[in-house]
Amino acid sequence: MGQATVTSASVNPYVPELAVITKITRETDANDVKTFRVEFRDASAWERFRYMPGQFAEVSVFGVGEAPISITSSPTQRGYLEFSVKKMGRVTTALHYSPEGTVIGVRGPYGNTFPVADMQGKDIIFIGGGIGLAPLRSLINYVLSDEHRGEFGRVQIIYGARSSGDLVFKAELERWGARADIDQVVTIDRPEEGWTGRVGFVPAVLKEVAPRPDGAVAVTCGPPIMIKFVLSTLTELGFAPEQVVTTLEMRMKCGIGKCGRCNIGSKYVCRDGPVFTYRQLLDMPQEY
Amino acid sequence: MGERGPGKALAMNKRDLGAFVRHLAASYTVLAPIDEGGVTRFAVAGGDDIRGSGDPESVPALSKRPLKEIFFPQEEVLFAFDAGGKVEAAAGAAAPADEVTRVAFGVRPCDARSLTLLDLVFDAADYKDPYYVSRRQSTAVVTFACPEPGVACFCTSVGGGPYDETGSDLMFAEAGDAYLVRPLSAKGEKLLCGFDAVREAGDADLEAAREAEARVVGRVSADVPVDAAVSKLAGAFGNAAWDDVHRKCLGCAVCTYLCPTCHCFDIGDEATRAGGERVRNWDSCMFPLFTLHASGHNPRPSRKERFRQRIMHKFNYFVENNGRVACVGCGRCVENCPVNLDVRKVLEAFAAL
Ligand SMILES: Cc1cc2nc3c(=O)[nH]c(=O)nc-3n(C[C@H](O)[C@H](O)[C@H](O)COP(=O)(O)OP(=O)(O)OC[C@H]3O[C@@H](n4cnc5c(N)ncnc54)[C@H](O)[C@@H]3O)c2cc1C
Ligand code: SF4
Ligand code: SF4
Ligand code: FES
Repeated sequence: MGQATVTSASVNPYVPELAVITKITRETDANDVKTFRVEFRDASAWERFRYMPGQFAEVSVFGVGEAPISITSSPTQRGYLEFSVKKMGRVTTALHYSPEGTVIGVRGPYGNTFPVADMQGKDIIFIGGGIGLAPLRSLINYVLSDEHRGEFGRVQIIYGARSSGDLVFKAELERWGARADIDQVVTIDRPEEGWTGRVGFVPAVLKEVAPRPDGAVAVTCGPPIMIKFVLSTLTELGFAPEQVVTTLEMRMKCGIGKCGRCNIGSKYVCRDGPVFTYRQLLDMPQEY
Repeated sequence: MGERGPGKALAMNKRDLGAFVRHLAASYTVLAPIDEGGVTRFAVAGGDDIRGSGDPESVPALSKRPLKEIFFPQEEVLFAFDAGGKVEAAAGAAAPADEVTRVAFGVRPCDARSLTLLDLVFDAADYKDPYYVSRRQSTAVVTFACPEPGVACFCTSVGGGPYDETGSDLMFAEAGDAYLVRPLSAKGEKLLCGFDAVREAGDADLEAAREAEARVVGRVSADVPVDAAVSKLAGAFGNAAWDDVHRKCLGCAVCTYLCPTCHCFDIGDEATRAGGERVRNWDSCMFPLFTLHASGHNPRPSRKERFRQRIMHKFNYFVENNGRVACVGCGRCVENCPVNLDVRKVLEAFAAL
């Protein structure tokens, strides 16, 4: 009965698909970020769950509740989804205490996507801070996939965290950094013994690296304060507001434009976002 | 049954109204404004109670609680789950949608109109809310033209009016000793089937109806400059006027709970040892927790931003997204605000900017 009724998820947007946690990766030294790989219990769910980079899902721990989480895997990685979750409150903490094999709920995919079609043929500069790399990672792996690499120009990644222990996706950062078609700079806020990478805040490093705006798109996500300074630095570097893309967070419940809580002006972040260009943000009230 | 040719006006004697309600109750679940300890709300009632309190021939007054709750209840279970992860959608979503099983009887035109605004949210093109939509499809709305507008009413300023038919399936209007009865949809048509006391309206009925309508028109006292306010609000997000208009507000959220068009909700889990339920409850933009991020950041930290959200949502954002104001002028928020914060005054203040 459970399996049969769950198929109704396609007509009832509030009923999640069931998914099993198949792999948990500890991302940070403090263990406050974990990446959960999940697989749908019902294989037909994949037909209903077709996503693109930038989208998110409502992830639920039954008995605790739901939280909106970016899909950090790329649609080019088939057979599983990945969510990187920072332990913040009730649901995210319950997830952190869920071992492999736990059945969770996943509904979505929700929201718009990164403007992948508009990025074709362009150089892409990814600028991430802390766990803000999670939504970017989906697009990075999409762009770097064998299927799509040829559609985009050069890739530059500027990523920073408070300390080396707070960097997420370390194994992947190493792989990306080793590729000849990527310029990658990883930075931490303060010097540390044994750290050979860059030291400094992301916006400052961005200014030094000074990517060229011609034929380029910048995609950024991180803590609000970082995004704010990154946006002004990109403007100084000559990026037009249309060339800058970011993804926003608001408190959410429904994910489908009904519960009324995630709006910025007339835009619902769950439905009209979470991806916005800087151009769009300039036309929206500063209430986020 | 009297002659009921196409296009002919119909009437029903007032003394037959009780029989009509019994006729409806024989085939449908009838929900009418019932007095529950001083608070009127749409609820299922039996026997004579079905007309609400008071005179069985009179028009039910505007209920204190809005009509929306019979479509979008204050609390409802979305689905249940067991400890093994089995999920079962609640009955509300699975109700047969093509058959009318319920009648909302004694609705006021403003409340009927509010349903067409809620439809824009819950029956949207992208995602349908199956709980709301199935209840909506299975419910016929029987409205009484308003004989006596209240002191806080301003329906005529937001496109409605005491005789507005928007959202109704069957409309009753005063006509002396009778009501004119106008079916407005197939659903409404069907409610009259098999009820013999409906007759063709005579000249006297029509004359009495015209007189009644003429008496009511102009009784909606408020003439709120809504259009002017809407155009001013379009650029008013950062206006200093917000610093003043919200000042009295306590943030109690009564205005949003009683508003027939407010649709915000929360979703949460209620766990039991054997599993639990996912439940949704009305929520309100007037509460600080509504937008509080897990990080502690709150984009609407004070009552000023929250009050602005309520007004802007109804008179600017909703207009931008749907082309209509999300207010039907029912006056509930005006009458029930503990500090008399009057939305009409707020609109006047912005119109005058
Ligand atoms: C589009 C989008 C994408 C996101 N992507 C990610 C991602 O990839 N990874 C990630 O880690 N996060 C992501 N987030 C953020 C994530 O959704 C939040 O961290 C998460 O919702 C927190 O939920 P929680 O239940 O753990 O916290 P909650 O328990 O809901 O809230 C945390 C805090 O809020 C306060 N609070 C909440 N409710 C109450 C109450 N009733 N009474 C008092 N205080 C209360 C408390 O201070 C509490 O500690 C994303 C958010 C959005 C909108
Ligand atoms: S009813 Fe009045 S006091 Fe309460 S939240 Fe609404 S405006 Fe504020
Ligand atoms: S805002 Fe006030 S007057 Fe308008 S519909 Fe809501 S409760 Fe009625
Ligand atoms: S999360 Fe409910 S409207 Fe956006």
